[in-house]
Amino acid sequence: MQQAPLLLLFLPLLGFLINGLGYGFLRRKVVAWIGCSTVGGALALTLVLFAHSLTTDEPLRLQLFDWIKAGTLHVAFGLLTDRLTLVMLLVITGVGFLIHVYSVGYMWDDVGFGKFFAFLNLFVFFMLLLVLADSFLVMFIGWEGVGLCSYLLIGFWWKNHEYTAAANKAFIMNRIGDLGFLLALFLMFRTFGSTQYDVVFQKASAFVADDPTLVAITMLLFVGAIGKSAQIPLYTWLPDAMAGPTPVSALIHAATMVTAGVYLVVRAHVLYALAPTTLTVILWIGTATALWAALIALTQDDIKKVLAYSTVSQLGYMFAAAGSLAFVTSMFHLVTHAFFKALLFLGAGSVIHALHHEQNMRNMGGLRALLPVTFGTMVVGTLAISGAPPLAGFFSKDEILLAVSDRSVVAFLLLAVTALLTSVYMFRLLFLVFYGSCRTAPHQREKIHEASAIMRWPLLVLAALSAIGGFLGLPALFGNVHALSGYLHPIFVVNPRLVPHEHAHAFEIFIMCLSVALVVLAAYLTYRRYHLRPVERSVAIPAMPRWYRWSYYKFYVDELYNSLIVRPAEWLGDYFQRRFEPRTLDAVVEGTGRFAQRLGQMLTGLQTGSVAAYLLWMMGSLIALLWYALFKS
Amino acid sequence: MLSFIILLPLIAALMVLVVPQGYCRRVSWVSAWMALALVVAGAPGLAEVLGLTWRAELAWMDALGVRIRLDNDGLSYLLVLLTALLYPLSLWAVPASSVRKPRLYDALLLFTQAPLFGVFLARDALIFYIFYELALIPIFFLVAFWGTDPSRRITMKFFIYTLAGSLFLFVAILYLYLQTPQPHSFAFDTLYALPLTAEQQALLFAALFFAFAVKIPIFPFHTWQPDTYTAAPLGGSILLAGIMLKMGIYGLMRLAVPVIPSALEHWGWLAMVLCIAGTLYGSLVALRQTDLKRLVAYSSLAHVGLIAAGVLTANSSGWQGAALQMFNHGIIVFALFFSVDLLERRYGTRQLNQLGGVAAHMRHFSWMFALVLLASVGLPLTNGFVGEVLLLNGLFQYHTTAAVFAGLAVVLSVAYMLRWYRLVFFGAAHQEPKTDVRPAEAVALSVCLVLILVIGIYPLPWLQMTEQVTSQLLSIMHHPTAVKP
Repeated sequence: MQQAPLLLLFLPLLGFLINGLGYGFLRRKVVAWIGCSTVGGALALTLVLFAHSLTTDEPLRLQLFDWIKAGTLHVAFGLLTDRLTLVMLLVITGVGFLIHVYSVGYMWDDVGFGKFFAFLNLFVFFMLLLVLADSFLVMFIGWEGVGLCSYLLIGFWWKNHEYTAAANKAFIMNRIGDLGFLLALFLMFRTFGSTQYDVVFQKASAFVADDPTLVAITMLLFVGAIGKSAQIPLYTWLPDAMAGPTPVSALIHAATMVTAGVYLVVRAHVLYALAPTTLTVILWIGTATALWAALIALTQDDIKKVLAYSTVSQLGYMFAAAGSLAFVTSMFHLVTHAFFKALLFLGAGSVIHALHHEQNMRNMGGLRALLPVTFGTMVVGTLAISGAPPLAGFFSKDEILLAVSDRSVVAFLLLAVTALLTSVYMFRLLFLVFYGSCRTAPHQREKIHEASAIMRWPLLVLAALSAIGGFLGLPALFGNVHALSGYLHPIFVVNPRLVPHEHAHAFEIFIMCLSVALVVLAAYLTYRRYHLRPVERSVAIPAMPRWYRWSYYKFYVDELYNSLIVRPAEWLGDYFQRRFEPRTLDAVVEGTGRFAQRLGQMLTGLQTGSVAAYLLWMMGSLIALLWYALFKS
Repeated sequence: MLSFIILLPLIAALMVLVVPQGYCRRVSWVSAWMALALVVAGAPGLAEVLGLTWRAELAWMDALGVRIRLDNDGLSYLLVLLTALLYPLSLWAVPASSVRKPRLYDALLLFTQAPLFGVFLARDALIFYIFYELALIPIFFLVAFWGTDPSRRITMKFFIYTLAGSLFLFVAILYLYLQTPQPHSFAFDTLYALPLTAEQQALLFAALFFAFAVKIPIFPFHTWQPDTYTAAPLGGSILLAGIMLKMGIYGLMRLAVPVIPSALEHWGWLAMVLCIAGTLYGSLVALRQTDLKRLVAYSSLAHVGLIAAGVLTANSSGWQGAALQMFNHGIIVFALFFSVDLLERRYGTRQLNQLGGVAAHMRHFSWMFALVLLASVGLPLTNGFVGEVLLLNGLFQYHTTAAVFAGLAVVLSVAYMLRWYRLVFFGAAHQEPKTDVRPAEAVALSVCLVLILVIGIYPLPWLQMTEQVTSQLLSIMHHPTAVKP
């Protein structure tokens, strides 16, 4: 049992090594078996660990070796498996395994099949390291590692220049966030002398609330979270990241990696609870991101873009919950979101696969009959994310709304509006893709087929999870039956600042009714707009109302960043290279050289060879020296 | 007696000049390998077991207090090891058949190795200076005769500029010598114990910093560097960027910082500003380069600026980071120059806009280069990360702002390296298919990759190597009077 986390961690690495080194000569079947079985094995081990964790509160600790030791800096490479880790492990290996299986079908015809599985396994390895780490610095290894894998998989189809640009953008924006993380690490070293969770949390509890150092540490960590979890202002990489194959979007850019920021905040809950200022910032950034991304998702025509903005928006929900000190709620939504968003992405992938890489929803329509399984599971996913009872999103989103209402009424209202928008864009997606007339080109229409069994099964399992996942956290209304909260209790019990809020049952019921009303309203609105009226295959954007154009063009944020940051940096580089260096710096250097030369030439003029001239100089200098000596005293 | 390793390449160089043409390269090979073997045998721990010692002291000009004092410690060893390691690699990277006048080329290459060993092993300022200057001469000829076309003018500038820098070093050393009590001595230990006034220190710091800043180079004294690195032949670029510039950083650590603590306290910030401005400057310019070799040159400018900044922090994290990163930078810059050369030999160009889709033809090269790239941008589990994180932590302890700006340069490094990878390796292939990396080339790259990963995953032995010496030198700096050899 002690060594299980280590084995769990290294199984996917083994898969990466085999598939990576064997790339080019391993047969597809072998690759698929290795890729899936390593993650499956990890899942099995996770289940064993989970069963073990039910019997004891004590986390498993494993010290591997001293990693870095220099001066005051001492980092041990250690693993920690507690219940919080286990929740993440279950998501990563569980959803990860399903997505691996799905990928076998999805990527079968791709020339880079082996490479794909190697990268996917490597990703799982780093993601596991991220959650198994027992210190922030070791977590940072996984943190940057998953960023690398994300880069590799976004640019998986590397012949396309746009895709690789998206990959670069993702890596660079993540690195900006990572700088914040890194600075937080240094500040922890300076303040606590360590980045190990136990040490940091123990020493931090001696600080008063809102101590400037703690605020700085938590803010910097949150900068890291902003980058990785695509929050304002570093969210623009995630929609572009949809360039990667769809299973990648499901695994990395929906279910696991992008939630690492949320995990980071929850993991550091002791610090955050001591920094109310940071919590307020998190609450507002989360709320703003949720609303902002939902507004953009309303008008996108690319099916994956809608889901990407939806992910950004849902991550905003998780942060809003964390910002309201409701860490369990945050984790709850992380889990349910992993279920239904992975489902939605895989469903979208199934549609894209069936239509031979068509992603524009305006070219879809009427696929309900052609893709019945995909349709059915997508309906479950849509209802789950919209918050229709009793599906997963209903419980987790309500819990967030409830928690946020304690902190700020405005944030609560904004998130309620966002909930409406969420339902709207999701039903819009559903209607555009599956209802109405089929708008695909006629010659393609005959080729549309339902996904193979290997792709269907993961969809069905995820649909089931999305349907029942909410029962992990039943509201207090039904008695004290919040399973997740009970399971995570030992993690948060050490934090004296986390007092569970009691809500009036009437208020809980009100929020539930509100949720349901919003879903129904959204369904009705989209039904009228996208079902009763025919859908145009192309819309004239300039003719649309202003709000539509702004939403469609994503509020021009990319353009803003380009003109504020990218272009000035490029201009500066050009200026330095073309003007400053040759005309200023080098001019001074060469000028000095030329001056020395000129001086030399002038002095050679003195060297005439005429003895008379030399004598004259000698006499002259002698007189000058004497003069000086005489008059000095 | 291991210090006589300095003589080995000299003897070999002379042999190269006289043996029949066909044997030149063999002699070079044997010498480079023997040097490496000796250095490995002299590793801390191993040397004691084998009964080998590095310490040597020979009378030379006793009347003047000049003795040939040589010794080794973790810091010296790391750089000696780097030198010994890069020699077989750079011989391997440039086959004798591919250079004009291979006899002379090899002889010059070997001639450079001796003073490089000497600089890192010297424990006497004058000896240090002599080796420091001696290393310049063969490299001057290497760049001038084997470089690409406009190299004469460029090399002249490089030579005069660095020579001018060295002049300041010489004056500073002489001045320090005259301050020592009778009988005067150049020994480092004597210099460390000198009680110097704040004014003296300030002037000395200015002279020493300028001298080393030209060599490293640090912005704004770098204008010789991009041209020289670009014009130099592969072997020359590797020596210049891989080892020679470390003489400057090493000089800062060994000769400047421990001698002038108060000046560092008062004026160190100015030098620090230059270093960090240089890392940002180098990164921004690298972002816009179209010539790969120039890109490497500017990225190197950015990286060494960070290392020098780490030295100026005068704390253990910064120093251990600097020591390790010097080694790392040597390995990485070799791999980068080698890769550029490999691309240029295949495609006949090293212009970004003329390359593209290399991944389609050169699969193995693509992933190998990707790993080098990751080390260069300091991704965890590569050696670059360990060095960078220690350097930045040192800077953070020194001043938060310094770490923030240096950190921005690290972000920029991703931008320019990924731009390179994207434009060269990704996209549609512009050119005819080319053969993938050949076994011989793969060997050279693999050595780098192994080191990158080994140091990145388990850096502890490497850090322990320099632990003692950095704390020793730093304690000299912090308690200048309480020094004893």
